[in-house]
Amino acid sequence: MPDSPTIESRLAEGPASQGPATSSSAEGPASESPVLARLDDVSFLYGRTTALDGVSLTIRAGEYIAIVGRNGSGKSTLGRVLSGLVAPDDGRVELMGREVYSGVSGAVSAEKHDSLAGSPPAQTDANAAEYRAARRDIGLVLQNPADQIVTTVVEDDVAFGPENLGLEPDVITGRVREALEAVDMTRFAQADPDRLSGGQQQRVAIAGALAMHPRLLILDEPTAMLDATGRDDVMRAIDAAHRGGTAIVHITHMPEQAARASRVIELRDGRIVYDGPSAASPFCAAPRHHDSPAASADTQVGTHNTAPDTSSTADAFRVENASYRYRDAATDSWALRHVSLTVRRGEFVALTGRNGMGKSTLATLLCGVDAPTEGTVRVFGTPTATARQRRSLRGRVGYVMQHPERQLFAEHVEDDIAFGPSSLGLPTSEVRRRVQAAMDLLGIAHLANRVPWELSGGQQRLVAIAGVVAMEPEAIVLDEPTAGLDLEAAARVLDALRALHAEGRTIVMITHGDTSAASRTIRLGECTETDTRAGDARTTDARTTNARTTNARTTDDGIADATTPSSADAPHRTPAQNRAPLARLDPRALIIGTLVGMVGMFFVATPLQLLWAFLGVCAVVALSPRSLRGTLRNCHGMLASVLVLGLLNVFFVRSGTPLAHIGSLPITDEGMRNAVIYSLRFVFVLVLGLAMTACTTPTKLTDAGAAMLSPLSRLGVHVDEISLVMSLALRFMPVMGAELRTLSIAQATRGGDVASGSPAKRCRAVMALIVPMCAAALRHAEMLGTALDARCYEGGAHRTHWHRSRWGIHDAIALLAVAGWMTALLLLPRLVTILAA
Amino acid sequence: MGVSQHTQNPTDQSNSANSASTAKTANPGKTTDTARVTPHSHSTTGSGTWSTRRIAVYALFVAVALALSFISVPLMPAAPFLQYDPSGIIALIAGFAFGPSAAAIVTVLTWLPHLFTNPFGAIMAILVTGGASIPAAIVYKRHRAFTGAVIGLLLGDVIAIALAIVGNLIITPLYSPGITVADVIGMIVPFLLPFNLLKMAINTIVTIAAYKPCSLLLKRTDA
Repeated sequence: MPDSPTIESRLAEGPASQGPATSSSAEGPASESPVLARLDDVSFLYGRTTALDGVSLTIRAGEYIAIVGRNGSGKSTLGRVLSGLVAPDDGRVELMGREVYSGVSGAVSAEKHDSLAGSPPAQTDANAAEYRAARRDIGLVLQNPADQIVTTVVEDDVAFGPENLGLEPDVITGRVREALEAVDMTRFAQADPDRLSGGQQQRVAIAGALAMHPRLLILDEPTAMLDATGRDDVMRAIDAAHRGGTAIVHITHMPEQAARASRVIELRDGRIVYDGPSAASPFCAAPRHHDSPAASADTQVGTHNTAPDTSSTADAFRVENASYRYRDAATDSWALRHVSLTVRRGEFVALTGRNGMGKSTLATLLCGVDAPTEGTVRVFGTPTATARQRRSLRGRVGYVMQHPERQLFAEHVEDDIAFGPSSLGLPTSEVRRRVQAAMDLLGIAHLANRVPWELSGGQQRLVAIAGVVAMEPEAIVLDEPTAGLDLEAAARVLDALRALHAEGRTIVMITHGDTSAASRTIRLGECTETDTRAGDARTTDARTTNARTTNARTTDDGIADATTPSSADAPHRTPAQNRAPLARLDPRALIIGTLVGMVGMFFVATPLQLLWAFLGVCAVVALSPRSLRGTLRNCHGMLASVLVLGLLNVFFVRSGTPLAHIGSLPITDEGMRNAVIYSLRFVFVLVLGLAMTACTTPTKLTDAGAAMLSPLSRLGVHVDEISLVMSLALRFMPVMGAELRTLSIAQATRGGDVASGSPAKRCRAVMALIVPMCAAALRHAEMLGTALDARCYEGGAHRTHWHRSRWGIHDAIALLAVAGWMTALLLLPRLVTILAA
Repeated sequence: MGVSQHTQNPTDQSNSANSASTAKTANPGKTTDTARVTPHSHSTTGSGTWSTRRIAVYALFVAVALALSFISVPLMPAAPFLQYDPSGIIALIAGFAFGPSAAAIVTVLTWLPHLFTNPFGAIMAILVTGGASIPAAIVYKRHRAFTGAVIGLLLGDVIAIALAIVGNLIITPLYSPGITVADVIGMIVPFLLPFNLLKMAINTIVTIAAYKPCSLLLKRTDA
């Protein structure tokens, strides 16, 4: 099939070119429109739960369909079946004109599998081939954009799908360009996806799917994690995709989004209860559900008017002109700016405001996790400026972070809840009493012996909240405790908070939803004086062309991530002609040159060699992109520790004239000389390594490494797959680093501090980090695996590479220069002795 | 195909009849529907190269280990240059969960990026982490039980400590010529041995404590 230059003209490629491009009629396009997907009486079981029950439907080219239904109605499963990623348990599935699954053949394959022990049944293999072929024309976009993006450069990520399809590089270039244009992300082509907002990331994910020219695009709740701006941007991108001729299946829970489709399919309990025009759909006619806070006033008196404890004049929280900037962040990005508020003892305050206004940051300041960069925060009269002051507050303020179920780690629910109170050093009987009281309050006493991961999401949330409540803190700060919960679980949480409030505890709750339980609402971002630069960075990060909006963006957990080590800190690469000389080299030459340089450093033993090495490093830094200098500035921590390590050498060299003594250890002049040389060697090695990463991207490096190691594949080593693992790991490292940071904060407030306490306590604290991180890894991996399947990754065998760099003359020059430098380095001592003689 | 279908249908029905009886007790309200369905694997991908799930899981474990590898805590105040990082625990867990090759891959890929900033540190880390996790995974593969895990861990500890000392003997004089092999030998008893014992102890204890929760976690995601 010849590749066409634009998405619009793709229509001519289809077998039925006479079908209308866009169908707004509810009956569907004219009958000549090819059938893209047909399900006949399909059923799907998860263990014993029925997800789909006798579902039949037909999807034709060019349709715009919304699939709606409550949580658990089966719409996600239906999306997976339509995308060709999972096979059902019964019925018949036809995708792209191919019969990919047939109930009878399924039973046959189960039979055959029993008789031919070990070998895969032939019938399933045939289906797998059909599925693989059908998937090439089907795209899938998932809910969490971060889990679908596989590289660190936007355009490389969009190219991933076409590479998997085995397209030629120049074809891929065209596809990437038009896909980015369709979603209006062209000016972010060189940006690091991790630094974009959720809406922008989701558009990148959509572009990645569109670049494969799918005839059917399925989107599974793509806007569920986005704010209003992000939602609008994504809906526009979906419209653009539809205009291009792609059939759209949009799984959503929002009636106003479903109304944009021409046809609505509503599921309930795994069955289709409505399949027809969106105009006549009862789901679309339902009253809208607002996520935004009800009132626009700054303070709001709710129906629950429990008077705060006015007899005590002590405030629970007193924030005076506090500002907060994350460490290692650029100087003009503040997470919080000039915030002042007071919460009296016994109040129940709701904290609202748009994403990015700093609510989560404020929560961590109230809990004494950190001190404000400017201004003061006082908790029960104690300021939080010093670490000792903050430690004294431990146990008095409870902190429930976003998605607290992510911090569960123990084998049984009871043990997890007991983690907090045990760390307070209470006797076992008291711990048990508190645990029981907390479980009773949240109605989960019957779950005491259950395994946390066998519970539903809502139950896990209640367990996590119980874990904080069991510490019986005087005040509790909760970050979106009801987000993502169904009505029953949300009500349970709010009832528990009301009961705690009635006991006299102070409650601060960040929420986007129902604030009626609170006696007062504070809205962040309106009455606070925001620094215009920081404000611009935050509010306009969706529009700015400068992709360096890192610190204004908040991660999934609401805490801006700016402290993770980032090697490729080059968000905005300039076009080829303006690139620094070293950045233009083939990555293989970079790797070889860096390794040779590093080896050479370990031959530096004399001051002259040190000077020569220093000159080499200066040359490298001068020829590297300017971003390297920024990275070096930010790395002074690493550089300092390397220096210290080297300087310790001074204690080992005893030869030479002693200059001083520390105790019985002599410090000699030779010792000093060696210490300086060896520590500087380490620094040079570090700089070379950082230069290499600044000159290229992790993906290009791993591709180059894989290319150089490809002979190993003949020994059975899966080089291509391993290199994909490496580049994916590098891409996800910042994400996991952010989760680790949030997690360690949450566990620290429960008393799980790795840095202090008895060895047993510290081991338990480490375990409280390790287990949830493994859970997080598995959670992301599930989505990532699905994304890889959806983008047709099938091993390295038939993949092409968009950026296939070739050895050029500058590579030869660079390697010769390195060889020359190395030779000179090794010959220098000999040269000196010859000259001296 | 038609003929073979016919002959196999009766057995097909008896199979589904069996599952119908269990399905009926589970879902009393859906008797007729579930009677037809024989639950089996929902996979749509054939065998061959690594599955995307394997790639994704390895990648995320390496990502977690990478994030942890940047945490360094000195364990002994007397030797502040000997630092501990928790990433070795991830390699141990990966080895138990997915096998010795997974342990090897997680070990090497975690430290490969570090090779370009601290080469000798990275080499030592690969030796020690690999020495601890790969033998443990091999032993556990043969004895898939808690006792197998403990024996594997202890064996791995011994090998790792041995490799740490031998590695230090070879590498430390290489990057600091002022320090001779004799110097390193002198450091073994006061510094190297206690530090590595402590490090292995932490990793072993935490892995043992995390064994049950992690295996329950993995069982759930496989379902």
